[in-house]
Amino acid sequence: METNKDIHDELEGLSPELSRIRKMQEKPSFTVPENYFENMPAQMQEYVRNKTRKRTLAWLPNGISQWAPALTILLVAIGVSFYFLSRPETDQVATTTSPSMDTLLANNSVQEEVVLDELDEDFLVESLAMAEPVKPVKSNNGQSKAEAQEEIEDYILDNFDESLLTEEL
Amino acid sequence: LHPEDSEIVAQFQSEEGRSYAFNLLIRKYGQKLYWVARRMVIDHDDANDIMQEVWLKVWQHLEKFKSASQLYTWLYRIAANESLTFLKRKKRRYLLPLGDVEGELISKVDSGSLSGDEIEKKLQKAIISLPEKQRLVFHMRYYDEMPYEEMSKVLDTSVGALKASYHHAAKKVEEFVTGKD
Repeated sequence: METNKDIHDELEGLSPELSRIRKMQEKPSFTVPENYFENMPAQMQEYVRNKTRKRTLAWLPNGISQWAPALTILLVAIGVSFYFLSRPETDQVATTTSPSMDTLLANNSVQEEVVLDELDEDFLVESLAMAEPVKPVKSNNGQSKAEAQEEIEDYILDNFDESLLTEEL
Repeated sequence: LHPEDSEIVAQFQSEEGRSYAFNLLIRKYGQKLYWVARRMVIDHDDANDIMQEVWLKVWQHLEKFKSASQLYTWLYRIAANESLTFLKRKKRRYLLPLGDVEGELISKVDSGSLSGDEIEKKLQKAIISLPEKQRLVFHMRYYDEMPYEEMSKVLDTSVGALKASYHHAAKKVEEFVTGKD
């Protein structure tokens, strides 16, 4: 096995100038930040810890988290397929089975909200006007005309003078 | 005083002693491996990046490491490979020709990475002008005084080829330093 002396002798034989420089300076004098070597073990261990930490999704059971990206893609693909496969069928049902407006109004079998959604505004106003019972007109003191009429008749009957009627007849 | 390599490796292979053994290993060889990288890339930050990758690899593979007698050779090999990979990646990333990487390294020598005198700066520039693998061979022999047998294990190259490479490198560096070229 070679010794350090063998290595020095070899260099001396190859290049006396390099051998002289080597004896003056054993290592290159590169500048290093202060305390770099003292802090090196901690710094390297921290780097290794961060690099080797397992990245897992906490809410998934062990062993499944590695499949999470594939599972997500699969679920999205299923969702998109379902949407596109089910859409034309829904449209067909809507066009073939939806009854006319008159039928809906006549048999009153459809929810009011659905009917209202499909009505145009003019038609709606007209329908409401026809369907709503006429409200009695209120007098100034809050009585309706019918009530007032009834009160007048009661007053007349209560204050009727029979002798006057006999005389007139 | 550092514990024997075999003790560190044995401790690393037990689950509870792993972190402590890893710490011991960095304390024992961290500085030596840093210089392997630093001499190749000149810049401290680059050398530090290489060190991080080196120690990550050591952490990941030391458990399976069997021959503790050759631990330093193995560590040196990782540091040397990581340094060469770093330089290759740098060239590829910035699409730089070899000359530009050399130019960048030389500018770092001039811009304060090296605090030595003019002769030392000239020596470093001469070494940078060597092809990367030849530079590594020169460092191993000139600075680390590594026997050819060990160099052969680190670089997976024959002793004869390494001798030829070192002799050729020493001549070129001498010519550069003495201004004979």
